[in-house]
Amino acid sequence: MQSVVYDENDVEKFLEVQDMIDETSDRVILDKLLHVQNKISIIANIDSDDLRAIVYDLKFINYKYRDFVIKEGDVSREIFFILSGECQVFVKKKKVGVLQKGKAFGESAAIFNTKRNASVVCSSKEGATLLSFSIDHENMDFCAEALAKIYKNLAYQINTKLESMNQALAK
Amino acid sequence: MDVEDIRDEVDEFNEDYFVEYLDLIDDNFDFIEENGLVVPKKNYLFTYNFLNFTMGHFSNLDYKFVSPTLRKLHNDILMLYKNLEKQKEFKNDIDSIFEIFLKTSQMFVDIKNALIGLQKIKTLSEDDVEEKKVLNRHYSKLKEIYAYHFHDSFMEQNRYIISSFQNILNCKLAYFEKILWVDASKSDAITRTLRGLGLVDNLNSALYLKQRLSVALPYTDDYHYLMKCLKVYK
Repeated sequence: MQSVVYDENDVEKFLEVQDMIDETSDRVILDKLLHVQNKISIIANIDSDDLRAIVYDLKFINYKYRDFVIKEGDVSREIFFILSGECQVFVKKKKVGVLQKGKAFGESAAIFNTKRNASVVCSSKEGATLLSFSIDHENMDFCAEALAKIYKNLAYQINTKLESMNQALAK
Repeated sequence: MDVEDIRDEVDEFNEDYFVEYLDLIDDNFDFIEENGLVVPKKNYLFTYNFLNFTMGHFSNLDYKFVSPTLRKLHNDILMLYKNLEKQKEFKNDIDSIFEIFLKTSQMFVDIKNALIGLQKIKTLSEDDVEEKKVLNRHYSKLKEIYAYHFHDSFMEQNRYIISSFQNILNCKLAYFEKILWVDASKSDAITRTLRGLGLVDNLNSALYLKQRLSVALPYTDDYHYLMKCLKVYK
């Protein structure tokens, strides 16, 4: 049983394609995303291989105090998860809520490709670190099961919001 | 003889028995480490059949498209894969390999020779009969103890070899896939054919798989396999 011997030219060719394989930078963020996956309701309980396949543009972003994370009326497709710090939510410049560490936001506009219906601003004086990612939900038939779960999760989330709004109105 | 001695003896035998595989694994890990190659987390091993098919398909379109590196890497992968499969089957041969061990273990050989010696005596004395009984009992008991440790040591070695081959193949298949497309993109015959299928720029496995899926019969094993391959490349 003989090992195949590669010469210098072979190794050079290996190294030429190395960058296309090296997933190191993405891998760290992806590991983090997989770690907090079940805290982000829209991607909860999705098979990890499927999740790897459908997420893209993963980033860790540091925001300074009063930085806008998203602006009302903008069109963007990122979903955010707060790793540290705090954010405030504004609709038509009126504060409507606070988002703490461990909360996710931005899912609906990202999936339905609609304008952002609120602004989110970093409100911690020491800044905030967010994990941002997008979901490729077009031409993704091969992950149909995962996408079905995403839509189901989103429907559940919207329904919960509607119920709490109804309860607030009833009061 | 204590348990540690027994374990050492069976470990030594198993290492000798698998020495060719272990040397091959060491050579491969050295190559990966010395050249700083990446061992990806993604499961490229799963795409082995798809890549083989693609290599065959492209070779039919243009038998000259393969660079010497790709040819070498392909042969290497075929050889490693064959060894991985063989290693998986070894589990079924454990009893027959244990029999080989018994034939090489000096202690078992000595007991067996003593028994054969007694067998050759036409009329056994009472002492001989007793000795034969003791030796037989001794042989069976020892065999039982050794079989337990042998099984343990064998399986440990087998698991290490399988997982090593899987890691090496995963690494080499990742490079193979990239070099395959680099070489294919340089071939007029291949790019012309792929253009005819609607694949123009940045040829890669994900695009090719999507094209194959678009014409594959849904809900077949092949279709599901290609879908799973696509997850690896996405």
